[in-house]
Amino acid sequence: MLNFTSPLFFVALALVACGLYILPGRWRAAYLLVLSYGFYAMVSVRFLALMVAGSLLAYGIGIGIANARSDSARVRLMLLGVGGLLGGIVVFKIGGAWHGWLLPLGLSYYSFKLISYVIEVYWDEDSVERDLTLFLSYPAFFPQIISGPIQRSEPYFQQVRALAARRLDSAQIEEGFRLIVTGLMLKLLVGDRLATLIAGVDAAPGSFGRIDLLVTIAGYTLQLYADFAGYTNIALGIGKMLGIDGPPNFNAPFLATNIQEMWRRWHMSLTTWLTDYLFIPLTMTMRRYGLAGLLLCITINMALIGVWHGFTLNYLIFGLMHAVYFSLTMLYLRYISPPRGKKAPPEPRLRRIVRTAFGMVLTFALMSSTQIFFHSARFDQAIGILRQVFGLIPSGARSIGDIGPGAAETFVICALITVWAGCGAPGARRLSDRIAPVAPRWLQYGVGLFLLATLTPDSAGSFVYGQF
Amino acid sequence: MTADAIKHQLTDIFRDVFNDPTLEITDEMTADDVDGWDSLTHINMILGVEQGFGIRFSIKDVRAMRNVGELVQAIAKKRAN
Repeated sequence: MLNFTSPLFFVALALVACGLYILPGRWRAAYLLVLSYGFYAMVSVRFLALMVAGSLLAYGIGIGIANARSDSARVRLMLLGVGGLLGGIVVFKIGGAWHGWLLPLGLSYYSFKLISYVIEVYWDEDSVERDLTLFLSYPAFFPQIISGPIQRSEPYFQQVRALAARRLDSAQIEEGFRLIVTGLMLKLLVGDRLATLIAGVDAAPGSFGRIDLLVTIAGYTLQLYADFAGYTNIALGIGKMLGIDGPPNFNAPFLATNIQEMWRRWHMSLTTWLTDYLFIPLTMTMRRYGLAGLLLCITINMALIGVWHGFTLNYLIFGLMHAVYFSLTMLYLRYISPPRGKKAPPEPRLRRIVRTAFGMVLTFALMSSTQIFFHSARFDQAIGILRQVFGLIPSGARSIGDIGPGAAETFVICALITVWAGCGAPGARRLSDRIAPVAPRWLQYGVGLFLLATLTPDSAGSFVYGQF
Repeated sequence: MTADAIKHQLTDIFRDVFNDPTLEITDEMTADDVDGWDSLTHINMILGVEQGFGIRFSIKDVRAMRNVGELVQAIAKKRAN
């Protein structure tokens, strides 16, 4: 199968991207649709039919809402559309968690796109899209189908319309290529190495020492970031090659100094989606209950972020832990923390640095504690790890270095690279510019490709977020 | 209620919600200009405004506001009704 890490995929991409710009403008939307359906059909024709059915439902509902004469008809149609699409996700997620069903590729991602479209049309009838070809290409857009990012309809439609009149833009192609190469490096060279080492600990966590287990738990967060941010860069890069900019998913999440800030920087296309379509409407409805209502809305929102990943107890606990951390952070910032602002009394430099560093480390540690439940397949596995961490059951004597030759060094190097990337890769642009006179951009990309060709582990390939 | 009177009262609400006793608001101010203005503080601010001015916004109103100036106009309109 063609996937985003196979060299064959990128050969095909180069050809289809050329095809896009050779075609007359009016055919480009149809071309994107054919490419996207072709990509999907290679995975499953049966599930393609499901996506087409969901898309046609949202298309019809959108036109129905725009043409409806009464508010009550608009509400009914919106509820029908949202209910139908959510129902599809719920049925398959339950089937997947409880009966081992195969999940249709990208179901939660394209359904969330379609739901946002239906709600947007309900809020503003002018957002309706009547061009069927253009509309169908939106949920199916293949760079975003495996794991998002979840793009909103309006910016997508605008960009595809503009594509009709566009010429090949070398800056956009280069930017797309840069995103793909850096994304592949983060995913294949770093994330997949961490994944292999973590799998080595997962095989028998009880045989490892407590410190090594704690380091591995930090590794869960790092590996997830390297995997998912790597994927997102690749997806955004492929989109860019085809002239479509997608929304960002990460904004240097490891720089966050509290959990509330972390959620502004992590999986942003999902969190902003939930904010707009769930959290704000829900909080407005519950406003008469004051602070208690707000805390309940936060809990519902976070619990749903959890079970969005799958209908399992572990994902629910992951969400509820975040709800507790998030609520405590909000209460602290609102009622306890000293006033901030430009005119607040200046804080001594050293104290500011220590406070920021402490906040970053604490946020990372809290995030990693939730990852124990996110990462473990079963509840009892997560509890076993927690008991070992707190010394309730004895730990073994093995260390990460015992997994294989060079394992400890590999872990440290990959962890440091991931932390650097997760802090926004400070200095990378400047370094690239500085060495450009000696090693021009094409040579830098060449080095990246060379590293990918020589250092990619054999086991590399599948994406963590592909299963959601 | 004049726009100046609204702004005066709104400043107090902003200072409380954003925990910054020296915050000054301007018409052009957006979420990007204020430290800690995210979806959560935004909703806190909207609820504070509703309580302070005795008005109620719809989700549509909340989504339509793009800066503080538009918020002031929305408050004036609601108060006039």
